[in-house]
Amino acid sequence: VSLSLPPGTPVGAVWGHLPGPVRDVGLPDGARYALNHEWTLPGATLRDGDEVAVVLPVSGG
Amino acid sequence: MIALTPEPLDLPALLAAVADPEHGGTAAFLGSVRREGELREVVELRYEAYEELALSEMAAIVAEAQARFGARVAVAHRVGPAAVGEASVAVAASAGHRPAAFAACRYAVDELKSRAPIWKQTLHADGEASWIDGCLARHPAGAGR
Repeated sequence: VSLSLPPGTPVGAVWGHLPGPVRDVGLPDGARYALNHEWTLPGATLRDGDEVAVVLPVSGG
Repeated sequence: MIALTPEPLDLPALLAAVADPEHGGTAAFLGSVRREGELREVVELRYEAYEELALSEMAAIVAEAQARFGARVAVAHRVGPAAVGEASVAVAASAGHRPAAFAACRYAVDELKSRAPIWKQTLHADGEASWIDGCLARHPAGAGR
């Protein structure tokens, strides 16, 4: 999903800008954030072209 | 060797990747898809990964295991469907002696399961599919910017 957000938007605010059907589910407990393929914290601010991932609880193996 | 692959896991390749003439002990672990026939029978698990981050997390785990235990470590994980009985995760670790090899192997698989952004969906014999509830992805607080 490509989003246009105000400069300085924190990573933690991205969920609130996702399409309604996703946003309405609510951010799952235990979600973590990655910015440009590295773990980050919700307060990290975004720059143009950044890629954010909301990483839900994992279940590999 | 760090791999995410839709192909069957190649344990001999992992063992070869950790071979070292100075290392006298090698431990290997395979995690396989369980049928769970006494509960609700499983046909296959379908793995999805956030590949870029999963590969970098797997690389970090391998580096940690190697540094902690003086080992050489290789890991591979399936993506896509894996049938009952097939391996979904494989780890090989070699070290000078067996305690470090066992410890490095265990560390790598335990950390991989709790940290790598990989998810699985169960396809049951009754045709229904369900996502497995995950554990919280741990990462060092303050990582990144």
